Amino acid sequence: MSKLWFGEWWLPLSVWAAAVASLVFLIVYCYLELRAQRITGLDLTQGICVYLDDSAITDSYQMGRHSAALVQAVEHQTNGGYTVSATTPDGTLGFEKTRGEQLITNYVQTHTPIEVIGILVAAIEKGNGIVHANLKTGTVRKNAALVKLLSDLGQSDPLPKSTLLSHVEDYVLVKGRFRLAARTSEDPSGTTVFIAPYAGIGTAVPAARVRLACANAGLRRHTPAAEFSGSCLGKVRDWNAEDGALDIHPVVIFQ
Amino acid sequence: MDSAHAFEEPPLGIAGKRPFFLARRRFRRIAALPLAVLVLATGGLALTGNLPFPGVPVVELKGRVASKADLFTDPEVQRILMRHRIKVTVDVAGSRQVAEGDLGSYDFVFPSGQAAADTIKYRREEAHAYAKIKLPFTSPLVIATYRAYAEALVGRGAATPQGTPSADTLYYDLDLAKFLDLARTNTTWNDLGLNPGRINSNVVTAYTSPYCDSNSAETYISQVAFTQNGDRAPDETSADAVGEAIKPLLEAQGRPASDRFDSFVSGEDSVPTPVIYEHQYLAYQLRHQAAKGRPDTTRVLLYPDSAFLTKPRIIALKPRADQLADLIDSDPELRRRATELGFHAGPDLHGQDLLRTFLGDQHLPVPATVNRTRALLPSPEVLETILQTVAGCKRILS
Repeated sequence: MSKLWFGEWWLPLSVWAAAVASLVFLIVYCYLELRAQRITGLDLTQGICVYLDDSAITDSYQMGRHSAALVQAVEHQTNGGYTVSATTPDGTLGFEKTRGEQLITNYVQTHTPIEVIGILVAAIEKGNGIVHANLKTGTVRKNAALVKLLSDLGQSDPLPKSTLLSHVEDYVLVKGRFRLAARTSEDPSGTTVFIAPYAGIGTAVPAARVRLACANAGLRRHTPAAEFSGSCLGKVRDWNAEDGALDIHPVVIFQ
Repeated sequence: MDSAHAFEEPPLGIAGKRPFFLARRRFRRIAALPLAVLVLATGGLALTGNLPFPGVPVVELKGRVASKADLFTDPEVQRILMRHRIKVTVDVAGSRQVAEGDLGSYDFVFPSGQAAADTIKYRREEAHAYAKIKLPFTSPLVIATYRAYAEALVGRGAATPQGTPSADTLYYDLDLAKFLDLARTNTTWNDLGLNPGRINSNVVTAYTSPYCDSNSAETYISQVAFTQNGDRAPDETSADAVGEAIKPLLEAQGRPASDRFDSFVSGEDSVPTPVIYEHQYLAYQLRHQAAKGRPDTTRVLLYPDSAFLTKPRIIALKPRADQLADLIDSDPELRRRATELGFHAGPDLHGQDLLRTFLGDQHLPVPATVNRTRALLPSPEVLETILQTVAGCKRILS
């Protein structure tokens, strides 16, 4: 291009380039965000790990509901994205299950808990196995896991405006303001309890809270003494009407 | 369990999933700037008409141009054309050369006057070739001179200052008949009494470009023929006689040359009265005004009483040059620039003459608009006859 052309067109060309660069950036960034959301669905592992139940990984596998997704996620991670299929011709899980267990065990042994929990969360989320609840806003997110839950409860048509967390049989991810409520002992066999209040739902049940009983062995070095904003992935046990507390078996807590 | 002390589990409202770009503060923070840039840049480009990719190829046009080559070599005009993705290169030639030459390799031509344009149009029609003609601006044919020469003509009653006579008068009306009489009687500039102390023993006459090449020379000859013929355009019956009568008046200048105005501007007394277009003089004065803050009052213009307004035509020889012709004719920026180069580019939006307004804005004297006799061009065939008689020019029209 001639000097005359550039002298006349440098400004529109620059603005044009800036527009295109911004557009490309936004497209790429949106794609990466969507992909990240599809993989994890949440930024759980970006926080500080407060508690981790190491055995939850293999427990989750052995429970069977998310085993296929978990194996696939681990294979994806370890093989650089290529999934190796080893299903037997008759479709039975004999060899497959043994190989899957070995794979998961090896992965847990050779990776940090944070990496492992990331894989677990990704696998369960991909399998639409996590109901997302936010105690701070008093809401539960309408996702495939919730729709499936409500469908199982016969409440899917039409969807109700609210639901109870105690109905959740699969995993639940609870966001809220947690605080240390009790600690039976410093011993690893002891228990530490965190609670998070239901908030943003008026004063009808002022004492209602979520209660997490954590084995001391799973507590990380950093145990916040003060109230903290965090997320807990766990399994709902039951609503304790006497205490006004929903007991959740925590798998992992992030601050 | 005592139901009086039982707490009911609070229900949680079911909320639709928010789009990630709303739900994620990090996303909003990171995407805000590029999003703002995208919106502003796109809006700006759309408003300025630059939304299509600027890298669209430039159309390169080649033209054969006469005295208006200055227009295409002007950097500002080049810049404006480049804004429209047009780059122009020109070959310079006299208008008659433009008319009679091979135009196969050119996209457009720009002869300086009607005669050459008519010839080109005629030839294109004969060949069933493409031609689109535009008349973008006008410029009177005038005679430039030094103030001492103009005042000498005033002393003989052949010229009259426009407006109130003063030392700064730039424009004079010329009685062409009296001016030609001076040549006819072999009156020299010395005979007129040049002041202060200038000496020029050449016969009083005007100096033209080569007769057989240029539009200005051809037009001046037509003007002289018109005056010689009693303010009537010569016809076929009078063409030879008029040609013979004006031949000695023109020959007094010696051999015509194409750089008359340059010689005049450089101060050569050997070319004291070049025949030029008004825009050449005005462009010179505008440059002088810009450089020195005042016009050059030593160089003035003579407006022949039998006036002739030249109307240069841009002729697109190929459809790809249509846009150039249209732009030169009507683009506001190009009309403004043509005005700055001394052309009459027509009225502005308020009906005011662009050139007169511009000269006033530049604090340059404005030529008077007086009703002059409009010299009429003879027919192309008659003009060919006169040119052949005066200078032995080859006939273009068969």
